[in-house]
Amino acid sequence: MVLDKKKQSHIPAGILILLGVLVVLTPWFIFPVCEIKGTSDTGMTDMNMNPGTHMKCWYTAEAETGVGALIILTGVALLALPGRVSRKTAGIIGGILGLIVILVPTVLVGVCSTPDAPCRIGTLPALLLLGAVIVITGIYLALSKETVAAGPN
Amino acid sequence: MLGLIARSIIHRPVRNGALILAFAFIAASLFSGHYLLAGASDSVKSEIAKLGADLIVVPANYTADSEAVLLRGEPSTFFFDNSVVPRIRNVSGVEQVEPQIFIASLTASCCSLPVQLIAIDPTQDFTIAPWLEQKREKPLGPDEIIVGSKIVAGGGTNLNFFGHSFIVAGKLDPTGTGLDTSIFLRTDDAYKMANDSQLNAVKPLILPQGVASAVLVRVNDAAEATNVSYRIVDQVPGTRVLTSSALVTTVSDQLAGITRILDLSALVATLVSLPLIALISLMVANERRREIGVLRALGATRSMIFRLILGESVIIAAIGGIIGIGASWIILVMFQSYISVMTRIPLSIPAVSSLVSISILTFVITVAVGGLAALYPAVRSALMEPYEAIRSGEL
Repeated sequence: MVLDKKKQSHIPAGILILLGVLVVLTPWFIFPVCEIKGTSDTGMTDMNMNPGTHMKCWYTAEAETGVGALIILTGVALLALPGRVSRKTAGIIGGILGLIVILVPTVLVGVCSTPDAPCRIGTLPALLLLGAVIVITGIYLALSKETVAAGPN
Repeated sequence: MLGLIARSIIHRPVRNGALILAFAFIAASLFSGHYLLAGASDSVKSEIAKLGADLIVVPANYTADSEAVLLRGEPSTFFFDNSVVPRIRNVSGVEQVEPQIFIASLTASCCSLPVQLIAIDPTQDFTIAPWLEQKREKPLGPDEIIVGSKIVAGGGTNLNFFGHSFIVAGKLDPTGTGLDTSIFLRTDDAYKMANDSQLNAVKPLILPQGVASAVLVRVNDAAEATNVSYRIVDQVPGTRVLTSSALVTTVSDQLAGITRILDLSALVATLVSLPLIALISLMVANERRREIGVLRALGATRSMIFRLILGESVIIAAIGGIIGIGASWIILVMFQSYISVMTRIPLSIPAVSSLVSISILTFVITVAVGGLAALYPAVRSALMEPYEAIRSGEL
């Protein structure tokens, strides 16, 4: 059985969409970031925080929601426009977005510094793991050849 | 032979991918359970070793609290009369004793939650002193404190407890246990702090004179530790002795549920996948009758065919095993703190020797399952006559 062009793009596109959804859901529902009553960047309780401000990890969660949405969009685009150029483009964009998923909680925005803060022990490793898988999927898409003959299943 | 097996595996990507995933799941379940158990017991052992004690004597009616302080860093304040200290010192086999006082702090500026303050007597101390010597630091001075690795405060920072100001003199290395959220101070300073608290603190600290919360004991002969612990309980009523092995047992019991579930899921996965994998191998062998027949006609021996079918399953199991072990290793290391907080069990990365032995054990079991599943199809294929095989393969 040889997978046709469309089907070849279906699986990685589906994986990209799934990973994008996970990036969106992780900081809010799966491994939620610190609640407002938790610990902040300085380790202070929120008593010292001005009303309306959030801890660092909150902004990470917001940024990751945006990046996750872009990853979903990339997957949908690949699903709608299968083809060699689309695969490569989606691969490159996906790879870069995967890198951003990793960079947001580590370099660009960061998470709370308290060692036991929920965002540090749960959200951060989950996002790093997701980011790594997205980067690998992107590299696979960018480098894979178009027609891979698949044998009988 | 290997090339033939590799081509055969690549030729059926979806089916073999699914088989690899099944083996990866078996390996991951097995590996995770034993990793957690090894990580927890290593962590507890390192805690006792870090304290430099062979035994810890605590008030009999506060055993649970002392375990909570040591294992999970749940702050607690409890005492017994320190008249027990000379009596413990007199028990035969005891080399050195060190009384410590445990005080749970109020919410402090450093920390969002109360921390455990541990008051030590520098003249009798053998817990912090070796660590200070190793780091070439001076002995703990007045109002100086040593903080655990999880306390967010660098050296030289001022921290306030019960209205008394302290200076951070050093930070301990991470242990993955209650020590990470503890703060060590001098007993004299603890009493000064209790005095200051009457005026400055929201809730004054009541610290009676002549008390201790735990007495750390070093024995002459480590092999005699258990006997010494019996003698202490016998000769000093109202005490309970915590040993390294007893604490490991407590943690193992707490973990028993999780490890049992993981082992059970590995067993269920094995039981379900064993016949399934056998069936798939049988189907593949049936599909490949013609190929096998041709190979036999070309001079391949029965043992070659047997090894071909068995080898394919073993290699798939090995790939699955490596993926399962690798993936669970990465996930367990990354989520170590999360698992520790959620299960309320101290956890550290197990020693390399135990990691290697767990990985090898898991790998061998996974490969054995693969081999076992392919045994019958391999024998069946090997026993096929070439002419019969080619003919039935054509149908």
